[in-house]
Amino acid sequence: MKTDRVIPDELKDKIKILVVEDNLMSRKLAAFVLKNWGYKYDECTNGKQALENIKLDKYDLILMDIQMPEMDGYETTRYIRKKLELGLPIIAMTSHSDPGERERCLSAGMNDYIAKPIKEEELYNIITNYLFTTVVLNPENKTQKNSPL
Amino acid sequence: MLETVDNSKKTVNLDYLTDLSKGNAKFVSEMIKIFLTENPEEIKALEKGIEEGNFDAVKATAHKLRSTIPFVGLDKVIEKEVAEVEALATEKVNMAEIKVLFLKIKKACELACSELQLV
Repeated sequence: MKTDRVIPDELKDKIKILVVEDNLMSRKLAAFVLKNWGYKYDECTNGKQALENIKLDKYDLILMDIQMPEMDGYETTRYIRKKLELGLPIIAMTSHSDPGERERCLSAGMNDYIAKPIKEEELYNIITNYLFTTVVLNPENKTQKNSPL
Repeated sequence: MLETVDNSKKTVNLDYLTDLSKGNAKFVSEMIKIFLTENPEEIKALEKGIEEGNFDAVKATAHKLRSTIPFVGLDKVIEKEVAEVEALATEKVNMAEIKVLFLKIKKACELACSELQLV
């Protein structure tokens, strides 16, 4: 069931999501639904690029693949939490076949995870719920460059 | 065209992409185009990895394949095989078994691509 929570359009306009995913089809798919829901987003294909993006721009949420070339999702998340000291929601996109993967996502500092291939409603709910908490209920976050942990 | 073909006999199934895009034909055909470009390359890379006995390459390609096959419904046909190839390659064992599994994967992918050409 879709969540009842709603992100008002005037807030949505200020929200930007970063999609970090090396697989072209998976990336296009995530981008397609984000666009449909009215979010702005940037796409990149590995953790190194993600860090470049994060240094240049402010994001409100990250959708993070796990297995990527150059720098994987765990390492990237650890860097974002420990070195950059950013607390923005990071949602892992995991392959369901590996039972240890979800545990590792959480211990790397990700907030949550969804299984790939993504289900629209599941992704919608998880994104809406996290953004509702960080952007709607706690709007002072928006005035900071990035919200620290 | 495909509407007249018995669905139960088809390898591919576009329900996932159609549902997710709420029937956006442009998006579905864009995704099919990417699949038709990438899938044969992945099959080739998998074959090369097997021929060279390169478990790491086999593992990486199988992983990639596993994330893309559900988009065209191929997971229903070969997910077990692809996952098994990835698992064996991760353990670096049994290239002979990987080869057997690969033949089934290759056949299904080729069939899928020939069906998708007609969409």
